[in-house]
Amino acid sequence: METLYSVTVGILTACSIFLILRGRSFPVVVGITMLSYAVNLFLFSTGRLTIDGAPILGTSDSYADPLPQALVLTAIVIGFAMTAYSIILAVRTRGEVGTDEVSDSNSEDNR
Amino acid sequence: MWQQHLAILPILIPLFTALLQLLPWGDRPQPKRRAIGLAASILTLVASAFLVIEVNSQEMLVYLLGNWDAPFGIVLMVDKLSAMMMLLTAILALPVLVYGCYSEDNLGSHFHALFQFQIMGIMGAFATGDLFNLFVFFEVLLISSYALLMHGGGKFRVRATLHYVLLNLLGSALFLISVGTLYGVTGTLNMADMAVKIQALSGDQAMIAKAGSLMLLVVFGLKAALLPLHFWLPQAYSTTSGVIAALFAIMTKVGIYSIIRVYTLIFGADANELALVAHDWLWVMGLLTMLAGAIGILAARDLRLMVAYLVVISVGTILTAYSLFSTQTTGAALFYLIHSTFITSALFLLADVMAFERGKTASRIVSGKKMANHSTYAVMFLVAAIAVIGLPPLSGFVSKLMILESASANGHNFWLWGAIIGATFIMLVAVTRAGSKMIWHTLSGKPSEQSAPLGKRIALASLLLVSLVITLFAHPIQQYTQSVADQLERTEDYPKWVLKAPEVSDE
Amino acid sequence: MAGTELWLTIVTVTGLITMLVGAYFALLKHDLKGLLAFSTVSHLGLICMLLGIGTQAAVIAAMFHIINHACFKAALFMTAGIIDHESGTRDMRKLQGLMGLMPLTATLAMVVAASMAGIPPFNGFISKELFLDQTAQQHLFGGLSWFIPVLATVGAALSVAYSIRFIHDVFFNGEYKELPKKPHDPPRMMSAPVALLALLCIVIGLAPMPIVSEILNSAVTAVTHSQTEVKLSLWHGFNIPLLMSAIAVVAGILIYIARDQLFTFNRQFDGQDAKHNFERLVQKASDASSRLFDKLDTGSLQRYMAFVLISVIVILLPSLIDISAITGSSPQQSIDTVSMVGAIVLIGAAFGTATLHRNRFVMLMMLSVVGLMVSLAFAHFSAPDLAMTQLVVEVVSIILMILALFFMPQKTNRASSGHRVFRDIIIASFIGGIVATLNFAILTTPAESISDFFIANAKTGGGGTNVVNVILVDFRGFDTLGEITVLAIAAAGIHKLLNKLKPFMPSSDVDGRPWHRIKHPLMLTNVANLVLPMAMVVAAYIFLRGHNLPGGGFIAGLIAASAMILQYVANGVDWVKERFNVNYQSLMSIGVMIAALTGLGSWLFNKPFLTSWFTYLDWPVVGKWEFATALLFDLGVFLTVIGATMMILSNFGKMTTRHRPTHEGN
Repeated sequence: METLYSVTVGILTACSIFLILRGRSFPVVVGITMLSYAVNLFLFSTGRLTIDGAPILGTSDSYADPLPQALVLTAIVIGFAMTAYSIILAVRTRGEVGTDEVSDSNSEDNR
Repeated sequence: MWQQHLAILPILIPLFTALLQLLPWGDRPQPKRRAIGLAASILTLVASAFLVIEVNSQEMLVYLLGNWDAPFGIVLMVDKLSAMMMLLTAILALPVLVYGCYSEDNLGSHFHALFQFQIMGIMGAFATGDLFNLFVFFEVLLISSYALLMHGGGKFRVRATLHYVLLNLLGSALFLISVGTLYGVTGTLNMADMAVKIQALSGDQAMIAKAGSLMLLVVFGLKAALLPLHFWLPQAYSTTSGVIAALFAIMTKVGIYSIIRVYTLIFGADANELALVAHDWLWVMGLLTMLAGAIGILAARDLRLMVAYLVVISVGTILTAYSLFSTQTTGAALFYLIHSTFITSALFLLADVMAFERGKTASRIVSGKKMANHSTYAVMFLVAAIAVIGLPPLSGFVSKLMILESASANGHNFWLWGAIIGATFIMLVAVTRAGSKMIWHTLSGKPSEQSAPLGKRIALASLLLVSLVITLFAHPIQQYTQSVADQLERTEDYPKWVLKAPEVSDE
Repeated sequence: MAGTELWLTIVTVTGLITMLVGAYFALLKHDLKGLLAFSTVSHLGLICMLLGIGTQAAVIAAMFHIINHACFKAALFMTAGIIDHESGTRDMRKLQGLMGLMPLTATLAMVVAASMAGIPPFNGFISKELFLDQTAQQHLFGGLSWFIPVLATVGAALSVAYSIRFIHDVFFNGEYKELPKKPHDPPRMMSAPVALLALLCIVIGLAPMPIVSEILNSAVTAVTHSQTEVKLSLWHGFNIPLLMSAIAVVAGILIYIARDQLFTFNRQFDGQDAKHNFERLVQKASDASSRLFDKLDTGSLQRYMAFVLISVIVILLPSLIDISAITGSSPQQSIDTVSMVGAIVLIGAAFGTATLHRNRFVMLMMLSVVGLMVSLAFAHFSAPDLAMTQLVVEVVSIILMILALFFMPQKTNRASSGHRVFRDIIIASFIGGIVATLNFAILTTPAESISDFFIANAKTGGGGTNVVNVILVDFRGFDTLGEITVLAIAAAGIHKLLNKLKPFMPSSDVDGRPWHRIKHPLMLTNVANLVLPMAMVVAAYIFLRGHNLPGGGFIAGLIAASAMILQYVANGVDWVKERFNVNYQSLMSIGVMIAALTGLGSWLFNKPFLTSWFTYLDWPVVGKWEFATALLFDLGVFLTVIGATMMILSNFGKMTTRHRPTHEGN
């Protein structure tokens, strides 16, 4: 299970990084959003994986580590705020600059 | 009662101020927002000053949020370094805010609230003793900076902001991975507690923690603008409005602070297998950063860009000096940090008023028409240049000399000496060249009729004055930074202070 | 700072360099005054060097040399002035053979120039001897200290050379040639001061003690803060300084004789003066730096991102390689079907998002599948709160992105070059590999953490059974306060972005079909009106139970906000504005304020910020129910989330309507 989980997180991260390295703002923002999912899964798993152990007192014998869950919750909300800001900034940039490219227009980078 | 809650005041005052400023305030809200903002900034300054006085006698203030024992709850851990950085922020913020009140704040909405949120984030980052809480305050200061950086709008500014935002979002993701890794191995988030746990690690666990700690170095290096993570800075600082650039003089220092905090307290000399994991990297990256900054100021065709690269040089200088890991050098580097924050901030404002009065040539380093307040700016430029380059007798000279002197004992000093003296020479060449083109070789013809408001000039002058005051009080300030460095070195005291801090009991 | 070793070294070296460079340029100058000016620079360097050496004798020498220098240099400048006045030029290439025409001036000039060159019995000789003596005695550079006296002798030799040049070029060097004016000895009033100074040079040289000891004593006492006895004399016997002086004189003469070679050598550099050369050099350096920068820093975000990621790889790889076995001591759990299927879908959707990114709508759909699977993963691994939060955030984010897509190009047309894709895949795989490695290593390491405290104290100390919620609103409430602050700042920042936005507004969809005219479909309107009260009840329920069961302020707030957004979509901005005219910005600000004030409340009881308190109250109808200050805190969260989300979404949604966001907000 642990192998499956970490491989999944790794692949999710790699796909996000690939998107982050694109030359247009929209895929980059999507990549960052997806990376935040991967990071949340990573952070969450630092409390190790527990099935049927939701940290609600009185529902189980052994509880999952609640602290990473709380951290991830904070991270999700902050991530939401950041995603919202960056996507609208991307719109504004396109409005002002006229293109959504995030690299210098003459170089080979801008694909 | 105020004494007891002193540590948290510099965070709460800006928070409440910002929240108040978000409320509607009727037909002409701006004057009211300005008044609230200025009053609050003065209060923050007073609180921070008291904080410095307090830690000077008590060594450290530990504030248990929610009255939960460390390491379970979040603690504020205000030691001498934190208090110094907080006071530095508060002093810087006041003249910058005054400058902003001269209609800079009308260029876009929410200037005042965002300004206070920015201060809150910075203060929180300096005060907190919890690694995840540091992440939260980083986000507070980052999201505020995202919004402030594009203040005033415009093609280049918005584009630079987009780059800055996306790059820092990647940085935040890396931050979370590092925090997660460190929590996964140590099972704690409190920095002092983590320091204890790290000491006990060995074998593979230590290597995992090492990976986490080094990823953190990338994150902080990005904030501090260390090579090769510095590329966002020149673009962002040279395109944003002058007042924001001046405020952001403190932003790279948050990165530097975090590096000093984490790599002294948690991964410092006592961390056994993880002792001084980052210092070799810092040494190399710091020297290269100085080199990059020096090439940058030579290449710069615009005064604002040049000042941005001066910031890069200062980052390199501070971190290279810190990487030697001797208390004398760290103390000297902290003195230099204070000096460079104020002087680069003043230079950003100076570039701004000069650009305004020069009109079409703006801040480009070419001859332009005579400015309305030409002689004032000439004197200011001269003073600022002497200070920033590090010529006698101003603070730059004093602090560079202190770094050189303290580094003499160290084996690496040839490189550091070469780098600092070389960078100083290049700064001398580049800055005087800019000054002679922009100020001494003006085009003939009528001087500009646009004159920056007196208030702006006074705000700018008072920032420069701070630089002079630093020179005047070099000795007591040096003593303080030295005591900061001494305290930082006594890492074994931190867990004693933080983990044994008593809860407040019922009477 | 003076008195420290470093200071002295810097000053000494600077002085030495100044002395040599000044003397060299003095020799090269063809202009009399130019020669004297650079010679002055050189002598200042010498004085500076003496101060740097810093011994008492050195300070005395420095003070004495200042006096001597003043005498001979003033006289020489006046001489140069006289020559210029009489002959109409100061160019040594034109002047020659003036000895016969102005013998008095020539004699006086020879005296003072000899003093400058340090020839006995004039005063310059004494101070130069003292100087050479000091350089021979210092030990600033340990075993390398000898280079100072050697270079000092070189400086002295240069000084002899240019002094000879001053005399020989002007007054001798062949017969008089035609000049703009025919020179004569000047009127007595003009030569008198020179004569006086020349006399002084001789007198001080012959009898230094009675004339200058008094002045020197007081000056040196002031500088060194200690009483001293100055002893000066012309003759010290045969010693090292005298030898150095002799070498300097001989070498100076030789340099002067060979001066033509020197001029030829130097001519290859110029045509212009040094200042010009320096400026050109700086310009060149600056241009080169610019070119280097244009190469390095292309203004490309892609490149910056790559730098960050490559830094991570380079810095982390060594420590990861050092890990001997990434499998820790914990046994692995077995894989169940749900996890397997979930993982496969998640991986598929992730690949889909990455590969189909050029059709942006498809990419978003893939992303939403990823988000959904992440939410399910949280649910599967015992994190119901996370699952719910992830789900609602996911919904709102995707809505936002679809809205944004309206203003963005729907497709990326050009494809990246194969070479670049390859590079990016390598970087991405490395980072993915690093993250997976760390993740696996941690998952298989036995856990040891502070969390037991939270489980043990949630009920007794925090008054709730949902431990995650208690951590959020109590144990780590400060994080949550920061988090809702971030949300509020983001909302304000987004408003700031939007109210100056000139959006790129398409009139038709991507395939050229115009947008539909019908604004508010009836069906949707009815559903929305029905959903709103229901959603509010659900939100209230989720909010209230949050302390004990999965839920809480954040999720409740997002649910309420979603229902309200539906009203905008279904009924339009005008309709909503008529019915509930809430200022979202104020709502959000008040929300954070409630949370912060709840924290502040504990100050009244002399407790730190955010200290919680709870009790059990008998409520009508519901019966005994817990009341905790944490609930008040969570109410703040709830209001902030509604305010911020509505501020973001409604402002963004309004971009296409006539209700554009304004500077002040609504």
